[in-house]
Amino acid sequence: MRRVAIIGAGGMAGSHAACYDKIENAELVAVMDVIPDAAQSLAEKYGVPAFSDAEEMFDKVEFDVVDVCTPTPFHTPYIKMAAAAGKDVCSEKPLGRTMEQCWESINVCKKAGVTLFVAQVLRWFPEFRRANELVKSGVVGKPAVVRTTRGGGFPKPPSNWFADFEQSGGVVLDLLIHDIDWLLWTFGPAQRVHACGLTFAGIEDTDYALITIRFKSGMIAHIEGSWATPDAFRVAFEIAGDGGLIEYTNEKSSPLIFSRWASDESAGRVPVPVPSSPMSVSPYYLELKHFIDCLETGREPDVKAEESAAAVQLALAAIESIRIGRPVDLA
Amino acid sequence: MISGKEPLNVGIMSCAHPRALSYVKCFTSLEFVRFAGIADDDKERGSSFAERYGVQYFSSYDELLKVVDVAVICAETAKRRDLVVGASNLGRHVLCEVPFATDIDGVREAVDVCKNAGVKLQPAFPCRFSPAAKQAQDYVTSGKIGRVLAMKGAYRSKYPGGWFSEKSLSGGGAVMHNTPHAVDLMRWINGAEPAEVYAEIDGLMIPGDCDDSAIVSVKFSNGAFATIDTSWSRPKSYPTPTDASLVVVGTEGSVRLDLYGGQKMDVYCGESDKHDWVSWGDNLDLLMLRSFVESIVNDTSPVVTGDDCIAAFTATIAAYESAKKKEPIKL
Repeated sequence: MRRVAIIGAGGMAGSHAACYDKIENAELVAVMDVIPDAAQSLAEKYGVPAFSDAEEMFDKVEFDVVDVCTPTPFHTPYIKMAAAAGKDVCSEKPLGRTMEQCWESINVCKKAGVTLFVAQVLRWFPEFRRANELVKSGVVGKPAVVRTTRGGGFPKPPSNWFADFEQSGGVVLDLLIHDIDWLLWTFGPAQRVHACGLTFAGIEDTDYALITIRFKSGMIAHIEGSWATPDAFRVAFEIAGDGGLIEYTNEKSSPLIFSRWASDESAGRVPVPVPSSPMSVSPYYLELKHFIDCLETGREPDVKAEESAAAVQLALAAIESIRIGRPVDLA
Repeated sequence: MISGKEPLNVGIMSCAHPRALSYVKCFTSLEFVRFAGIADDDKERGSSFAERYGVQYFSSYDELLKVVDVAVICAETAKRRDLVVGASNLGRHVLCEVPFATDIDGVREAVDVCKNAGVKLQPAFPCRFSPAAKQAQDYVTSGKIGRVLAMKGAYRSKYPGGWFSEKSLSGGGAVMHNTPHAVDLMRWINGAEPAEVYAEIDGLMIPGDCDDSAIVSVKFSNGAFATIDTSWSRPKSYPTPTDASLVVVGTEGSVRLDLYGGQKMDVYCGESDKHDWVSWGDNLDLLMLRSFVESIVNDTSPVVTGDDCIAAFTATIAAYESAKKKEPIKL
């Protein structure tokens, strides 16, 4: 049994808490957030104590694992605090806001002998996992051109830290880190990146990026990321190789659409279709179950912290390419 | 509308390009046109084509040009310029596959000789004639999506085989033949010119050294940036030979255009294990040819001109140069 304390009580913390509630060998024991109300409302749901000060939580509660769900720049400070206390760590993606942060987190955890697991949840999304397996089994032959799409409108959480580039790194670091990690996991290391984007365009609540990556294998990948379009959230990928093609889009993959009439004062009854793709277990559950099981058995998690650091490095190189308008070589 | 005039005599010069067959079918149904027949410098290819589709075969281009008002050039890319020169010298109007030549001087020469001869020259850009594309262009140019920020385009096809991978005849592969179509669509819809090009290009799927995989990035004169996937990445079993799509992201909204993925039905043939998309939309080749015929009869400028071909081809050549130098090329 692993006792888990969550730090940062935003949307992702809610998802993680619900998973720990279901995972047999895990137990949520405390929630901390610098906003006391946020900590309180999540903690109440699971009947655990709430804290607004991390050190107080470390002093008063006994636990084994820290799950860091804060905005990106605060991952490293809490990871350091956890490592110093000998706690294993799950950190939300991206691992850090800067490479210095990433390496600092990796090094302190190594030194302290604690596990550092980065929640690259896309690897547990069944369509992405299946595609990874298909590619590795040779279904498309040698991969040549790979495309991914992710995004929709601008995120609107209660505290809008996504809009602050210094905190979130914009659509590239915060959102496309998913696709970047999946690409590196599936297709190996990258050599060069070229990107165009609105990251520095100064348009309020709008970010959009088109990234081209040349892999060491020769493969060319293209990533579209949007916090700019008034669409439903779209996810798609396509893998073309010398032996075949895989196409996926979430627009054509929902097994269930629930529709109801909503009333609109001017338009009367308007239809509101809600597509969904329910699974017996969620990707977040599978991800955290894997993490907890690794801790229990002493196995190294499938996501290595160094891989997450490589994903951050590629994302930051893409942002640099947007800034300077030229391709960036990866070391 | 056309009325009260003599029908135009039309002939096809070479059936090297697969669109020649589509043109034959279009001309037999097109009002105000008398289809004369086909000539080809490959006698075997030309005569068997003529026999198979029940059209007149001319033993030489000169014989064909004697009896037509309009020459449609479907030759191998490297041979087109000479055929444009030959036809225009005799005062024939020309519709030519894109690009008109394998180098920019050849393309310019083709455009210049037609201007000097006072004949009309139209590049075969069928996407321009799509009612959906026209609607998209109207949404964008009328300001319905605000200022254009970015575009994501794709013009992919199956590997066409044959002479397309022989550089002496084709001048290049997927980039040479697919890029101009996408660039033209973007210039037209965005209402701006390519200002800078970056490209990752390689030959990863078909045997030999012909390029088949590419992502081309284009920055436009109005500040919008774009990428184009121009790969020959549709496998043999893909349900359509070509797909053309475009996403336009603006400050107030976005437009998503899919020229071949829309207005189709899925047909599965039990006997042949084949799955095809059967279009029930407009035949874009027919709309393109009709527009050209109308421009001749009414003596107006073609909707798409030789200058459009020069602009699209300039960006195409820059893509090759960029891939070679691994840096952006300013136009």
